[in-house]
Amino acid sequence: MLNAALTAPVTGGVDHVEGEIVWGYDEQEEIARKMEELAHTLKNKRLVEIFTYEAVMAREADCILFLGDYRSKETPFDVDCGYCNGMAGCAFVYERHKTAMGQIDATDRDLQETPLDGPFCMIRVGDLGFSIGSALWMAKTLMVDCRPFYSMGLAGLKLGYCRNSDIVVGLPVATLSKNPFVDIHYNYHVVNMRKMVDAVRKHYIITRQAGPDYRLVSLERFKRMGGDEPGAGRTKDEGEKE
Amino acid sequence: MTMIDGRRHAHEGLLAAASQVLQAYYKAPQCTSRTKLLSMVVSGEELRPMVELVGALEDSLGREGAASVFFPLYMDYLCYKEALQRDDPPVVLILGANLMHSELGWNCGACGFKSCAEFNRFSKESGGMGLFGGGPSCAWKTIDFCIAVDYACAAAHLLNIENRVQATFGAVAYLLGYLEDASMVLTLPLGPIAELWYYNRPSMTRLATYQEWVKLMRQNYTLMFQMFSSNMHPWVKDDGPWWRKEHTDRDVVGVKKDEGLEAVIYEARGKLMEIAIGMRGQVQEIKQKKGLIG
Repeated sequence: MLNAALTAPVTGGVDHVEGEIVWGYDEQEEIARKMEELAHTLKNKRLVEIFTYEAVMAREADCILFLGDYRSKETPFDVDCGYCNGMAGCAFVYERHKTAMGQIDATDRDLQETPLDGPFCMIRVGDLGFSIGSALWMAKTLMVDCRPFYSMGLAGLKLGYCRNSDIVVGLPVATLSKNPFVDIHYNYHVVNMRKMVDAVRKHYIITRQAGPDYRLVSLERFKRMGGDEPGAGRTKDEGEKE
Repeated sequence: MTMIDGRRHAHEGLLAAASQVLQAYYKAPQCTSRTKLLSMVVSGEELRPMVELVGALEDSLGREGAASVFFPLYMDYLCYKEALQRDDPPVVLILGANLMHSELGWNCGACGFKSCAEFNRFSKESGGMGLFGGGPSCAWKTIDFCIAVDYACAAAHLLNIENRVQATFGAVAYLLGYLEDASMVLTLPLGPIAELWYYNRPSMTRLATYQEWVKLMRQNYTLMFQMFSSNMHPWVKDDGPWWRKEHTDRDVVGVKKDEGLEAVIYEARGKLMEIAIGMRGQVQEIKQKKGLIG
């Protein structure tokens, strides 16, 4: 998938994408927890549900592929395309970042008031889209499930994955009998497979404790069936054959 | 039972292939699941306004002028023109989306605004148009649109059809109003039935001589071909035995203002707009004839 992302069509044929593959219980748990933290620290009510239920997917995935674009903020395409706003000389992007010698100062990360430090060159962002598209196409070809996520990408970015990039997208990959990234119902962050299994375990364990001493029960049962002490566990017929 | 020219038959299959490519385009996964994708299939005579626009630009600015100001566009134009001359024109997919409005409410800041509401307000009041399309754009919708375009490219690739996604003719389609509501438009020509038509560009080889290409490269890549730079006037190495050249004949790297160049570029861009506005009626007429607009 990463190879497909690297060979995707790209504006001007200029390399722009970096990727990292992350797997393992601890790593995915860390990402999921970061997503849950961001759900609340971003102070955006619309994102709370999205970020929390997508955290479940980060846990359920077999691995997570991060794709980031390291040119979107630092090196705009300089073509006056107008996608960022239409000002001549890509002024919209340059004006809103600190610059020196016509170059955007990427070390200046102080101004961040939003999760991502925009504005970005939309041509580069589009190129990232091409790369993600190719990675997704490869996943589809390999018959594995995959979907692109803003939340996972943001968590990855904050945790230091694809650290040269200013915009990162998370692509969880799963090979399960059911695609874990679709068919999501309400309150999925609470009502999901893990919670359900845990609830079954909890209730089953409590319920089974209501039973009496199993040893006494079986003795009574076998006596009723006509068995005696040495032949306990056998039926009457089996005892006669001996 | 059948005897058809193979190349002709392959050419006629392009339209059927276009439907498969578009099926992939609309099936692409999205980050937002909310980006509305627009598209149009153009082939044959309906393609002419796009090619004729650049032709008119060439007539007005001269070959040299059109090629020097709009070089990538001119290169693609030659590919289209020669394909039309060979009677093997591509089936062009015009793909677009309106990225200038966001209902996401994510407030991520990738567009440069603190919130989606602020972005929408700015977009409505002072949204502008550049050389290729409109802005500002929502970054996540841009990603979604480009994922879909990539799906279309991948589908065309798997079908073994010559194709290349182009922003140049996307801009032409945008200016001519093929897709009214789109702010970003890209074109994906399928065909002609040839190899590397848009990459090695066989139509380009006759455009200039070897010496002219070398000159063009030297103009653009001087930094890579320069000599010792700390005398403050680094020489540029030439094609051939540059060391035998007289000192007076040598070129040096330097930065200087090209008086009047900006004026030429902006005049040419103005001309492009002028021609495009003049030709929009043609496209509207075609759309009306095809029943695409009332």
